Amino acid sequence: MTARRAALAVAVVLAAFTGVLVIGLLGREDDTAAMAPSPLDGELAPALVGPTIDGSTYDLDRDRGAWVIVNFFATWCPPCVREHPELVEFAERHGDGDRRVLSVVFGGPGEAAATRTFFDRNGGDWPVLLDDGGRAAVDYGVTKVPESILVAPSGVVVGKIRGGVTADGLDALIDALLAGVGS
Amino acid sequence: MSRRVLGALWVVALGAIAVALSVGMIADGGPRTDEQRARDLAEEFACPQCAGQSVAESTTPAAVNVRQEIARLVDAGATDAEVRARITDRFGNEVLLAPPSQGVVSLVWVVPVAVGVVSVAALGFVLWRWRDPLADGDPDAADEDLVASFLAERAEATGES
Repeated sequence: MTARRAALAVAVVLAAFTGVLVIGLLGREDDTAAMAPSPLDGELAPALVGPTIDGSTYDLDRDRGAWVIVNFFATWCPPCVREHPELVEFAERHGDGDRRVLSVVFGGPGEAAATRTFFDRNGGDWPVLLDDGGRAAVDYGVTKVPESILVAPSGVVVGKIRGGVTADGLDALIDALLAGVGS
Repeated sequence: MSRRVLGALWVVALGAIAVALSVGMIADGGPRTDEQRARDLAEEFACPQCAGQSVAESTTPAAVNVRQEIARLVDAGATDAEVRARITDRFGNEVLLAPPSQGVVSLVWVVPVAVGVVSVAALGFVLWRWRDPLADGDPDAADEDLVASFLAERAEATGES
């Protein structure tokens, strides 16, 4: 009887351990995109002005009137590398139209050269803002790349996407927001 | 040592501990440099990118960014409260390692203290109830009579004079 009870206790402990393990594995983070709440939602997007990797100066205000995907990324981040072709697709699909991409380099000083090489190899001709000092990342509350903040034509932040984006997903999101405004 | 003296010593010892703790909590060790202030503030925030480390300890890019922002704000003359407000405004209250002492969240501070006080009071009450009633005070005449009669009985039984 005692042996049976001991076996039952071991089985219960093993079952609990397995359950915790399964729940942990199911809940593991991946790099797929997910909309996340942001303290910036509904607020005017913080200023983004500064040097780009090609030596020019970018100002987010100049893109007022267009949807802007503010994409924080790093060349050393595998999910960022995986999402890059989707951003290229999105940018080529819309050109200089009303849907644009801005990349912000995340990860401290010294990233300019690596980022230039990355864009030369992988394509993409949208502005790439340097963020030495991490001011922009703090302004936008970026904790982990890739993270994309969607700024409406009015200049207001309407959403934050954690993880990699897709061209179709971005278009669907903007279309849904437009439909919501129109309805 | 009498019970009263022992009690007084306990009171004095507890009082000394309370005073020492209060002085330790209040004393700030003199004015801090901007660098120390920035470091102290960085220790108040959890690394937004990793678990179990403060912004002061972590080397992740997000923590480095927050550290640099704190240093910038301190250099610009921001107060501690302004720095905290700026960081929580961007990353939410969840980055605070110590929960705020206001609102519902303040219960995490109040409840343990209340539980501690009630527990000590309950323990004291139980110990007081458990005390040996015979140990209270000096023996009275009835006690002495009882002992004398017992000794007399024993002497009679053993034939002692």
